[in-house]
Amino acid sequence: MMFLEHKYTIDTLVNKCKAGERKAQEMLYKQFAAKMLGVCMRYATDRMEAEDMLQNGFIRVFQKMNDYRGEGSFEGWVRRIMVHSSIEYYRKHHKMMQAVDMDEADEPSVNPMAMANLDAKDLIVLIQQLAPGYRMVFNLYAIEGYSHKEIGEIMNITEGASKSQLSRARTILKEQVLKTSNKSYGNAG
Amino acid sequence: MEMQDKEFDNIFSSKLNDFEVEPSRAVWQGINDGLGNNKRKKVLPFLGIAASIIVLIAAGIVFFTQKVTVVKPRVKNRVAVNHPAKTATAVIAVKPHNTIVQQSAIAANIVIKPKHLIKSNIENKSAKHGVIIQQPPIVQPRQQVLASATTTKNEMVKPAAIDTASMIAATPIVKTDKPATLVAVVSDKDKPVDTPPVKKHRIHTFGDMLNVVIAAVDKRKDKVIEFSNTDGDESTITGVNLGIIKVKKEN
Repeated sequence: MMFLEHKYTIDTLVNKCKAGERKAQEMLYKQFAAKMLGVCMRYATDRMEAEDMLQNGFIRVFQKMNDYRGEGSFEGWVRRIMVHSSIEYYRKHHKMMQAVDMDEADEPSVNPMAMANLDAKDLIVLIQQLAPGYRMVFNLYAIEGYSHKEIGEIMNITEGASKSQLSRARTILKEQVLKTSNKSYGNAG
Repeated sequence: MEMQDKEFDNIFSSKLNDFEVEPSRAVWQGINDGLGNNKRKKVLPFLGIAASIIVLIAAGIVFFTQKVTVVKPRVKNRVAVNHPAKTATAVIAVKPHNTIVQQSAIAANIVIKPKHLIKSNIENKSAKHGVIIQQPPIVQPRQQVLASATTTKNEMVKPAAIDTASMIAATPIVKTDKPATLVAVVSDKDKPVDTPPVKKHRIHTFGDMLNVVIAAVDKRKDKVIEFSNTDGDESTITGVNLGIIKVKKEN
């Protein structure tokens, strides 16, 4: 169990938040805000969008606090809400790309050593450069672990469209990884 | 060595799993606003408007009730309360002993300063100095009441000291041994019977009610807005006074 300042545990804070205590809400927010903004950054085009997603997500967290029954980790519950907040934002602000099944392009081969040189910030930049639809599918499948069927239902697209978008997203990312790693290698050399 | 798709995804997943970014302060403010924690600030202007409406209505009600309860009894009270009081003083005024009248009149001026006898006060001072007084007989009897009260206690009365001047002044008092006429003189002043009857202002229309409420707030002759007080079904605006702009419809 995680202990916070003033000897409050997450469970205590959750109970206080359920009672509507503003101070407890702020403490809980401070506890998870940075980590959850990291999640939102993957779904957003830029930091501003990510902060909008984070704000809407936390409002929903506090509004639905009574729905949390203590089953599973609280952080996991908050994270799922953030993902749904990001999807909601995407639905409102980006036109759904009704991608049709595409012929899979030849994917460039990427050496794992090239990936090792890239840190989290670099990867975030690469993801944010993807088209919104590709970015959503890649995040939901590769990082969150959703199936194509679930992604199809969430994004209101076919399962096949989800697969092809994932494939296209990977291809673009691999190309970008190669470019970035070559640039880094060139600078180092 | 080529990388499989699964391996590629895992690298992204593991590297981004612990990625953290500190949000700006505006985010918490937005959450607070979204949760309605700052609702009080937004509600206050509405409370102010509601409070002012209540005050306006309360002022209207107070004004309205005053018209009904206070104006009516005023006429009756004057008759019932004031009249007997005046007659009482007048009747007593006739009683005192005629012999001690003038001396005690001076003492009366010192001891008691009746607010309604200021005139006689001045006149009595002149009497003290032996000046012949030509005062109306109406005022004198009142002094006698006060005088008789003080003289009995202080024993300052010396009948021998009564000079001719004071006797002259006292004569009319002695002779005014007619309570009936005195009562009449005093009471005539405030007799309510002669006062013109107060016109009752009754509220018949909605316009009347608005006029009453506005009159409670706006004390000017030409109100900020006036409505017709005719018995018609609809109330029309008959006057507007915005300070610079004044419009009034003549009846």
